[in-house]
Amino acid sequence: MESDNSFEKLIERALFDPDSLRQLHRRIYHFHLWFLGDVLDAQDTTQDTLMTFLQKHTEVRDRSCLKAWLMRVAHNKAMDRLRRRRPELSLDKIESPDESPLCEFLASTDVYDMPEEVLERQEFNPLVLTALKALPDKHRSCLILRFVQELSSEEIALLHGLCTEQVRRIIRSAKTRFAIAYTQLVSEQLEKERGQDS
Amino acid sequence: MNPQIYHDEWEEKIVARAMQELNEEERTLLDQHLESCASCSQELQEYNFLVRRLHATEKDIIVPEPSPELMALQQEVARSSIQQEAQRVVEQAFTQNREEEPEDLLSSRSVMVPGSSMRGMLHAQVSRLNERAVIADLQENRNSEYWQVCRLYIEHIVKSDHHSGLLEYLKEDVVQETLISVFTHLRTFSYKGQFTTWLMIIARIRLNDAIRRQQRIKRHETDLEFLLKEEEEAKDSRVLSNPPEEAALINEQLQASLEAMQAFLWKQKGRDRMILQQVFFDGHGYRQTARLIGIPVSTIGHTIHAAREYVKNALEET
Repeated sequence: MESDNSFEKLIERALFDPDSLRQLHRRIYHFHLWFLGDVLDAQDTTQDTLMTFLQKHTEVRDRSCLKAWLMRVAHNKAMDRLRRRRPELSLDKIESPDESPLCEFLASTDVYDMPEEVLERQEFNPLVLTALKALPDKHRSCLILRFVQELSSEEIALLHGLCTEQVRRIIRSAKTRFAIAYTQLVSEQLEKERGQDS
Repeated sequence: MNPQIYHDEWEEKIVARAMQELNEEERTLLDQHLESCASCSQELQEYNFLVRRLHATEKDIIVPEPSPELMALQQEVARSSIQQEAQRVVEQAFTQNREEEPEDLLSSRSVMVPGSSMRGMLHAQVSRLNERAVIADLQENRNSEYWQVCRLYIEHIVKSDHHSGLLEYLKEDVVQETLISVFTHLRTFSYKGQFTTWLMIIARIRLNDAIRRQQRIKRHETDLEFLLKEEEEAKDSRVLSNPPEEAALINEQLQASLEAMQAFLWKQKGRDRMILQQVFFDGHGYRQTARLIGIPVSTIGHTIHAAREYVKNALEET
């Protein structure tokens, strides 16, 4: 994956170089797919984001802010798309998720107790996207921006209008929530497999 | 899940370790802490698990190609932005130059350098559009849009030289010569300096060549005019000092000369005939004739000399 510096250069080059635009399209598509969990939605929002980028990039006077501006556009487009949808599986409503009954219940058994070779089976890869969808939007966004887009906590804080410490806390919480949701989905899947076998 | 005591100060390092972003020194420092801290070790395992899951899934993602509309928009945006920028740069540069006070010929070399603001703007534009990509396009595509930008930039450099007295039609030649040089030598551009500077140096070399050429022609012209003036003065003094009978003889000779000249004129074709007509019958000076026809004054001198030789021989024969 490219460093932040090369990501900025990639954005600049994408204004005129078709190959760079393809690479940028790839990165933005990844963000949208992880965030929205839907291929068609990701395609649409990536297209919208890059159209806006090409048409309005001249409005960004300070070129050093171009990366932050682009990621903000990408995030806003994804949020617009989400608002149009009905939430499917979400923990958004839980005010203090770490103290909720669900989390307490799940916390009573260590999610990492499940053997790694089971959790990391290739056929469970699609469950990662489903597990991410179960996270609150902000948690999911921070997680993807940090671990997939490789933005720093400071950059994510700037993008979301939060302080760096808040971002770190959200990432820590999102990591635990993801593990809970993913393990739950794997367990369900395994139970289904057992049911089919019997 | 086990209750954990988070060490906030290590949190960012643990995430960075999971992302393989730490250098050797930072990793050693973190490892030393992890040996004595079970909660941070657990934290690292959890982040590692998350990163492994994300990266494993990432490999399965098939990314579609950008739509043709998007690619077309990019081309359009790139084209229009470069045209607008070039237009703006040139307009601004010409406005700046109009405001400048004229200087004498000797200082023309210093004023040939365009304003630093223009160079800065064009360079910024070329940098933004990736110099290597621009040059590659120039090399591969003779019809590239960037050739137009190069032409505008070279035109600006050449035409902003108001002080050397270089004739306008010669400036057009300089622009063409510079473009040909750039085209011929583009593959030798080493990327050690700015592309705009390289363009400017070539334009300046061509411009200086043209100025030198013009100055050389001017010197020849001055020498020729001086000689002709001396000859005219000597002739006038001879006419004034001659008695009436001698004057009649001279008139006869002049008449014969005129007839010989007319005969010579009818034998000539094209440009030479035009020169003789302008000089002998319309009464234009050498310099004026040279400008009207668009040739050096020395050529006029050669033609006139040939005509005089003819007339002289004709008079001797009669």
